[in-house]
Amino acid sequence: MMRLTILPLDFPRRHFFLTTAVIFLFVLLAPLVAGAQLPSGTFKNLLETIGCVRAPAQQGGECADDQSIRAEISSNNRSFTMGRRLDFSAENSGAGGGVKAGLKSYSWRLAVPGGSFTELNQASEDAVYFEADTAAPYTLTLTVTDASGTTSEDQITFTPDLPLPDSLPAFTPTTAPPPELTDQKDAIRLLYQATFGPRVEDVAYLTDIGAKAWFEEQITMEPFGYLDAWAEIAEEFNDVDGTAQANGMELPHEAFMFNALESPDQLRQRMTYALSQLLVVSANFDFSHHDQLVQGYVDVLHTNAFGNYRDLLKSVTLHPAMGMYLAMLGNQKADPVRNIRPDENFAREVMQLFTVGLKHLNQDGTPLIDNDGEIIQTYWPRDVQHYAAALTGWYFADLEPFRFGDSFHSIEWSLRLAPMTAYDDYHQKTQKKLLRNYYIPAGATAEESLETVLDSLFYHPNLAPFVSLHLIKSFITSNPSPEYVARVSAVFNSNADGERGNLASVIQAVLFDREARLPLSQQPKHFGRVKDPLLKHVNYQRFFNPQTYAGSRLHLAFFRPSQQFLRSPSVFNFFSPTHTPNAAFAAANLVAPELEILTADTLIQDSSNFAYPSSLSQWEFNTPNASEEEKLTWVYYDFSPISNLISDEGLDAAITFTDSYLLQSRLTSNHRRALMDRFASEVDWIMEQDWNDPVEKQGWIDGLVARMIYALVSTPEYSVQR
Amino acid sequence: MQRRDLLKSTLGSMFAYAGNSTMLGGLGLLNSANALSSNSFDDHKTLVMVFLKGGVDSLGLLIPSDPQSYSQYRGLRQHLATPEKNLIEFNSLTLASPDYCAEMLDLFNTKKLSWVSNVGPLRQPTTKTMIQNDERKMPYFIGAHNSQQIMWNSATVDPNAREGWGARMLDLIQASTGGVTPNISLAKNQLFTSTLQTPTFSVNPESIENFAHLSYPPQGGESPELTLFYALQEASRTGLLEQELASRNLRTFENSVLLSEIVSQTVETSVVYPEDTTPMGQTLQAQLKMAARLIEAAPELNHPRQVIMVEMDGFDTHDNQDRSLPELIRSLFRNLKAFQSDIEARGVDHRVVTFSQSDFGRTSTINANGTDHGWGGHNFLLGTPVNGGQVVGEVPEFGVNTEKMLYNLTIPDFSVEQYTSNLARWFGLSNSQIAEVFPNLHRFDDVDFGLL
Repeated sequence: MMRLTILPLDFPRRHFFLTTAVIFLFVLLAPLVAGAQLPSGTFKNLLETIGCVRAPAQQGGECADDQSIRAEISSNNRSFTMGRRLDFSAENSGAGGGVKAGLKSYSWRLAVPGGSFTELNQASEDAVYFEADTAAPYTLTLTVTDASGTTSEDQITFTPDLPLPDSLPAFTPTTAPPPELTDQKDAIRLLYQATFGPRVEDVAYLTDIGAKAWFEEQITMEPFGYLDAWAEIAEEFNDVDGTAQANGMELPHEAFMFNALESPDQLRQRMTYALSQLLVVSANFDFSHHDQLVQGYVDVLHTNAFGNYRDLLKSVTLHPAMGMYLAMLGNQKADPVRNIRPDENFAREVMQLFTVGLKHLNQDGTPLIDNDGEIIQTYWPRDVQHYAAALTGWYFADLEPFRFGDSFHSIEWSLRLAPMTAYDDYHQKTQKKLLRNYYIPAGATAEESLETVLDSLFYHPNLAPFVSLHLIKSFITSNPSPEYVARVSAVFNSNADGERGNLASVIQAVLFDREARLPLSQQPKHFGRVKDPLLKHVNYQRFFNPQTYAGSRLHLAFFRPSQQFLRSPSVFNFFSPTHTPNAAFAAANLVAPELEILTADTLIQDSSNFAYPSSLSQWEFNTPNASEEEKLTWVYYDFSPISNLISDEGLDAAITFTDSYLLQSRLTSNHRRALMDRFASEVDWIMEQDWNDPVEKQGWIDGLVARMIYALVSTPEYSVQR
Repeated sequence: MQRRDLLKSTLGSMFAYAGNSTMLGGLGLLNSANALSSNSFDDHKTLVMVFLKGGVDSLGLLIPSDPQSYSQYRGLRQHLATPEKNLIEFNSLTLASPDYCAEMLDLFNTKKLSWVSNVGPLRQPTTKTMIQNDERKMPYFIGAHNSQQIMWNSATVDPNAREGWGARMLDLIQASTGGVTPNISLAKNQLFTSTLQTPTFSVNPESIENFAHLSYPPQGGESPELTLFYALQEASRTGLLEQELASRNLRTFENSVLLSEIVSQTVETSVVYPEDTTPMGQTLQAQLKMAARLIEAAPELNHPRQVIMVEMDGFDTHDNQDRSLPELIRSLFRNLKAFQSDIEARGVDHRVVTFSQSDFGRTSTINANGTDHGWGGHNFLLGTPVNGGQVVGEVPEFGVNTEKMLYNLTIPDFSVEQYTSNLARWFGLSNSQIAEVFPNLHRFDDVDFGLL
């Protein structure tokens, strides 16, 4: 019961009635103020005129035309969903004479649940907004104050819903262009693009069975992998691996050379090569020289080369070599007491380098531009933290949980090879917000979190142009037209069967697009790609077929180029995909990634690998008294196609042949003249002599051929694949 | 005159059949024929940039050492924090460094080395509030190795920048004189010492060689291999990639001929460099040894101004930081100390300033056994011309979400341009040239660090 105002004794009589009325009203209103039920009857209207029941806004209390202060939070939000701006206003609050009138100030307070980073933002004097980021209760409180200092409060509490993830647009199923070739030059072109280089017999085979059969055969052929290659050569190279006697021998280069030179599944091998420069693991990392571990990683690429990109990504993510390389192996949940947060290495690079890249892209690979003419970042530091948390709790497979996080060196060799498995006790169970409104709810397991991580990246619109661009640059040309990229992206987004991310379909689209099959005369001046030093090395070795006297594999280790397989300096590969080599390229917006590592020092270093080849004849000619033991160290090349042409048909025919297979018929008349000037008189001299010893004659011819080949592989043409 | 003949006439006087050379006269002929310097220098200066690749945890090298600050550091860095007993105090600053920085402190205390605190790429002077209101106030791609390396090396916030500020300075003050180009990289990276106009000369730090079979012929002699080489490289062709390769092959041959001849006149080294068992340290050492010879040969190379880049990798310590960082830092400063002694022994130290750059500093917080990518970081200057023994700027406290920290990333106090413009000024650029090399500098206060 409210206290009655005590009137002073000398209160004038003329105010008696007013005073009585006021007292009377107080008596009537007191129960209402104290929260009692509104009395019915004649007084109701009177009361409503003077004051009204204070009721929370949610219950729809009516306070039209009231006189007392009233706080009310109102909103137009259809639902309270996370990740979206939620607006709230005090516009229906009021004090004396209608809405908003009479209010002096508004004060807002937002209580957020634990783990939330939400902050309240002021939109205007009486309106606020915020974005909820946690599926737990939020409480918003509004306090209004009138001129006299009286306050009133309103409060709402809600738990926001998880939104649906952003969806991709519907893509039309798109068939890749059919495999077709025009002539022998196109066949040679295809073999430079799609294999480790054409040999004479490869060209003959391809032109014989045709592109369609060849491509089918390559896609369906039994794979010959990297563990297989390693198993072939390990003993010969004295590589003891995977046991207590393991030594420091590592053979990523030799295993690669073995496959590049000998494996028939050349397209798959070349795809593995391209993928090894996208989903990068480097053998320079300390894997304790555990070759099987490293080769096992390459086999993940090799096995999935024609499969689905999501499967590839998942297998890469869970392979322990990648786990070690980018620190996802043994990454554990945050420890707030010890101020420890999850390691961000893999989380960052899986976005930046393996799936979506740094900026939003159109399907043709060009960057998306906002209204201010700026590029749009795909993710921010906060996102990296969420992905890092989502990828905690994985370790070497199926160990006792107490071993989680143990040093790699304490894990038995054989237990390091299987895909990582989840250890839920070490997985961070907080809610995580990923890209494109993919949320991982609090309490999800490590495996559930991984699937959502993969979905958020696989179903990102950037994925098709990002991967397609990389493949086109690795196989065909450094500067595809946006239309070419768009055509390949279309197949990535949805192949003929409606499947997203089918790499067999994508590589068909890459190789047999009209832009990839242009004849030399129709190619733009900027067309083609520079062979990275390893690819040039492999092209040469494959054509000239090095052998050893005893049939050993020693030649695989010979002549190491400046760039070696799986030995990128970092996860950023050997060179940047956007490297611009000179002003002319910059002016035309062109790139030449591989040129980043063709610098003076590597050009010089690699030249020596082409400068001193010997044929068997040359060995025999130069060291006629070599013992059988000395001969075991001989590595020799096969120059016979060229040498025979010189003997049988002359220098000119030999140059034409070499031009066709090595330089894709790009020698100009000036080139040929220079070559003739250099070698013609020497050829004549050799042919004119009366040789008693055919070995001696062959030695001289091969010596000349070796120098001629060196001059030709030193040309810019041999370094550029068109 | 045919390019080849020009080289021949220059080198003709350089090469007697016996292999000796008197190159000064011949080289001078070639250079004076083409010299187009817009500045004229009567002295020589070299800037040596040491790139600490991966983002060095420089925050962990300069630790505010008053009790409260140390306790904050300890709280955030936990088992990765250097214990107090292993810290070495700076003489008159409330700062300390871990004991594995002993050589750095030697150089600091003998006034050869100074630090600049908290430098990083910035679009404009930036506060935390600005970023909270609009994330785009930050440079793009904070924390991305490649983008941040590009921003540092170009001294811009353009993640697609194609030119390094080292080479931009040279282009502006000294057009190519026709001799060996003065923008030299001894490291893998090219950007810092390249412009589109003047690509870097990448030199193998182990030895300066040339293409196989292409030795320059004795005076008056002919080399059929060389004739063929020139004919094949100089032949006209329409492909853009092929044209660039031809130009590159010729440049490589000519630069290498000139360089190897001149550098062979300098001694290998008279100073004993530390025995280094780490591959990263060994690589750095080889680069520094070659750099010392290139610096000594600057007058003979006709390089009044010279920019050399070296690199040390391995600083991306997400993992095993407690084992790997001390080893790397020890190796870094031991080798730099030896390098400084080396150039002193050659009598050229008065004209060399060495300075660091790095992708970024690292997070104030840790993961289980390392740190993650940060933003601002501390960098150092080393050399006789440097006013050593200073720490410029205020080393920020270790914290999370403090005024200086965007969560656990340090917001830089100095932009890259403010740092690099100090070096450019010493190098001899005028104010207008500095403004041209660093187009974004005008947004920042023109701060003279007082170090040079």
